[in-house]
Amino acid sequence: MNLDSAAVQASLTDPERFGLIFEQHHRVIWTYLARSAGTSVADDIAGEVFVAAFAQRDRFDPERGSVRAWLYGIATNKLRTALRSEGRARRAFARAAMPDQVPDNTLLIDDIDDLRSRAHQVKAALYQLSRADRELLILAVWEELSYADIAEATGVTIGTVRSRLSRTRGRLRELAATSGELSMEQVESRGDLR
Amino acid sequence: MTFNDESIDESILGARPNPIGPTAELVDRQRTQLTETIAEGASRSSKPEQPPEHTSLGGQLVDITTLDEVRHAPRWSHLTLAVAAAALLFAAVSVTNRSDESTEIATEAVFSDEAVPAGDDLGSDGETTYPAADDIASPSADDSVEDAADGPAQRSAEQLPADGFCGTELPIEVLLTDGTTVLDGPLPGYAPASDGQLIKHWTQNDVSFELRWPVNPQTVYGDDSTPSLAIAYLEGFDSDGDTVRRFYPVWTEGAASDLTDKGGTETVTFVASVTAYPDLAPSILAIEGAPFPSSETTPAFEITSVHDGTPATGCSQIGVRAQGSDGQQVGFSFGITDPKRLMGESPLVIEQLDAAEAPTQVVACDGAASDPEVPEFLERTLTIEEHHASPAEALQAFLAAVPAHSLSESGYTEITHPDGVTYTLPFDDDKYVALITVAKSDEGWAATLLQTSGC
Repeated sequence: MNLDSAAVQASLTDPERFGLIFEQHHRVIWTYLARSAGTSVADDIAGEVFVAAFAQRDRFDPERGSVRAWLYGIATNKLRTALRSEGRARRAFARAAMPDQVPDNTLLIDDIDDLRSRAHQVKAALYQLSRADRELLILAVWEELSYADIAEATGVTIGTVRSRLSRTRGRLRELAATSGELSMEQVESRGDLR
Repeated sequence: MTFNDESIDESILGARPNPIGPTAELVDRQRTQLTETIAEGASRSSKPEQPPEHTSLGGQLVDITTLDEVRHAPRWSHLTLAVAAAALLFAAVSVTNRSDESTEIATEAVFSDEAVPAGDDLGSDGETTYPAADDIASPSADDSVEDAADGPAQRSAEQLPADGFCGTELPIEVLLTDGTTVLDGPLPGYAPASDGQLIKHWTQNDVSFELRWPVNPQTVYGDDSTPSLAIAYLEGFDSDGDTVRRFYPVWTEGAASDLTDKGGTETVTFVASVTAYPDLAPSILAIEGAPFPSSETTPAFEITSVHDGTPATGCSQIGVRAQGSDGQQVGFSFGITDPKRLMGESPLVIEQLDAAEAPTQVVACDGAASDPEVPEFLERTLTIEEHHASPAEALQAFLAAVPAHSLSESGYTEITHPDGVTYTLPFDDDKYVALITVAKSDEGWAATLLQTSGC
C-alpha cells in the first residue's frame, strides 16, 4: 500500500490524515479541471472534489486503483455535473484549450513550429469530439493516466478504455486532417458537428 | 499534414493548456473548507475496531534511470535511446575519490543573484492543521533501508559496497546560485548517513536539496507514493549550449518509472544503444509543482560535469531529495555509469531465437513521417574484410571495426536461418532496431548486411 492509500485508510480512524491527500493532489486536480473547462470552473470545483472524496473515503478501494485515479474520477463527475449540457461543456473546453503557444516543455524544441501547426488542428478537432471521448483523451494524453487509472476514473473496463481510445484517436486523426486552417471560432460557429 | 497514433498524441500534448495554477488564496480557502469538513468528520467519527493497515514508508519516490534493471532486462524499445541518453547525461564518466575535503560543490550564478538561506533554515509554514507530507514521508534512521526493503518495488539494483564508502566528495559537480552554502549531512528530519555514505544539502530559491551517495535505489527511497513535486525533465545541451534534447519522466502510480523524450508511457526495459547521444552534458534537473509559485517548470540545479573514472561497484547511484519550505518533497535516484561499462556488462548475445519466432522487420523511423529527409530505413551492404570461425566472432569483429557506429556492443539476439545467422537488437516482439546478417562462405563467417531504422 502506498502513502496515499495509507493516508486514506488512516483517515477512517484519524480524519485529519486526509489533509495529506489535499496537499498531494489539489494542484494536479485543479490543473486537470482548468485544462478541461477553464480556471474559473476549476476554482469552483477543485475544493468540492476533496470534500466529496473525504465524505466517501470509506468507499475508496486501493485494490481498484490509485488515490489519484479515484480523485480524477470524482473530479470528472463534478465536471459533468457542473457542465451538464454538451454545449456548455464544449464551450468551456474551447475557452480552456486555447494556450497562447505550444508549451516549450512539451516536446523536442526543434519541432516547435510544426507542433504549433499540428496543435492548432488538433485543438480544433478535440473540440469536436464528444465529451466522453474528449475526457478519455485528456486523461490519457494530457493527464498521462494509465489505462488502469482511466478505467478507474471513468468507471469502465480497461478493454473499453483501450478500444475507445483507439477509436477516438482515429476519429481525431480524421478531424484534424480535415480541419485544416479552421480557427477554433470557426469550428465553434459550425455548432455540433457530430 | 497527416497523423499517426504517435504524432496525434504528440499534437494533443502540444495543444495542452498549461494553466498557471491555483492561487495561494484559493488553495488556502479550499484547504480551510476541507479542514472544517474534516473537523466535523472527526467529531462524528466512530473508530472501527481494527486499525487500518500500517505502512512504514520512507519519504521517497522515484528512481529515474535504474540502469541495472535496464541492463538485465530482455527487450528494447526506441525509448531506450532516451534512457541511454539520460544515462549519458550523467555518464560522461564517474567516480574519482578526491582528497579535497571541501564542502563547497560549486557556486556560480545561474538562477538568481540573490543569496539564499542555509539548508538548516528549512522549515514548515506551520499553517496546516493536519500532518504535513513529511510527517509520514520522512524516513528515520531506523526505517530507511531495512523496512523499505519490504516495500513493493523490488529492483535488481546493484549492492552497495560493504562499508558504503565510495569517496570523500560527490562524483558530480553541481552549479548553484552564487553564495549558496553546501552543508554536510542530511536535510533536517531525514535519515543520517549510513556507514560510508556521503550526504550534502543546500537550499536555494526556497527549496532544499539533499544528495546522497551512494544509495541503493531498491531501498533508500523505498515506496512508490505519489510525490508532491515532480521531476519535469532532464535537459541536455550540445557543445554550443543549445538545448538538443529533453527527457521526461513517466509517472506510473506516482513513481517515475522511466525517462522518455516524448512523454509516452511505455516501459523502457533495455538500453539498445548507449552511444546515441554522447555529448549531452551538462544537464539540468528541473522540477515543477509546489512549492514553486507557479506550474512553470523550475530549474532546480545544474549538473555541470561528472568526475572522470570508472564507478566502483556499488557506487553508481546518487539519491536526490528536494523539499519545499512547506514540507512537500520529491526524491529519486539517478545513475552515473560509464557507457562502456554499461555495454561491457551484458553478454554479446543474450538470447537465441528460432527464425520462426524472430522479428521480421526493422521499426521505421518516426521522424520520416514529418521530415522527408529522414529515411524510414537504412540498409548497407558490408565490405568483407576478413572471415571468422563463428558467427559471434564475425559480429564482434564487425562491431569493433566500426568505431563510431551507434550500435550496442552487447545484448544481441541470435537467429539462425538455413542460410546464415542474423543478430538483432529487438524493438519489440515484432520489430527490431537493427539487424546484422552474418553469412558463411568457404572462408568462414563474416558480417554482410546491416539494416537499421532510419533514425
